[in-house]
Amino acid sequence: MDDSHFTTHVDLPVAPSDAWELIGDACALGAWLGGDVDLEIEPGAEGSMTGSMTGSMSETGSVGDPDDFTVILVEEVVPGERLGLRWASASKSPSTVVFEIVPMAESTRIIITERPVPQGLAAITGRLCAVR
Amino acid sequence: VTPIVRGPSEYNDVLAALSDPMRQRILERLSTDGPMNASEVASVLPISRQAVVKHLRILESGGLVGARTNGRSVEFSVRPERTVQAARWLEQTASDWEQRIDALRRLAQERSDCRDAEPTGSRTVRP
Repeated sequence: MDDSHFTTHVDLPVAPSDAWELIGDACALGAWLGGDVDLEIEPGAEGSMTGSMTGSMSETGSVGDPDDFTVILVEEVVPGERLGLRWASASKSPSTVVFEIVPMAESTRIIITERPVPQGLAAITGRLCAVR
Repeated sequence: VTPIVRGPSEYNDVLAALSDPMRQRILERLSTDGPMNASEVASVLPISRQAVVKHLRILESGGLVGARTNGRSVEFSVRPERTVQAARWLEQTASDWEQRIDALRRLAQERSDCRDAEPTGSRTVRP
């Protein structure tokens, strides 16, 4: 099951501490995810994002949806290094997303890995959605 | 409130099944040659019948192939709909992250530019 995932990375012209601010701060996270994130970045925290720059597929790619509602659960926080989230929305089935900060010579790499949530975990995310 | 979860992960088993190069080759064979039993698949690939059976079971559990009894033999055939679903998940996920990463790059560049514009005396020493 370890291979069933999507992964990508981006190299940013900032220090690792600045890169961490872009994912470890809810306001900054929302700024580039394209939604309004209401979430404490601490393990076990539950929150949400309203709006998204992505959504259903069209011929030209994903179409943003300002009304999209995403439930988010913080699974793991290693300050400055790693953030693990689980999320689900009306437009996409549940998945986990892990952001990893990797210092480079003159930049900082953020590795992003998204995995579909297995059956048991999907049920947990389902409870989150149901009580929103 | 109706839960928005669609039930079990629709793609995890499919993606896992597709992740192995030999299973990809088996799928290609079944796609081009039509339904085959395990012995027939083993005869055209460099692995044992036992290994083929193991791979076919994983493909079957991922919904990528279907099994049908034909006399004393079990024939396997491709179920393309599950492969298409998994491909769509990957396509949409890749497209989503492409857009988010573009926005992340812009935001990081803005912050980098702001720091470069700060007077030297006000800069903070960073790790």
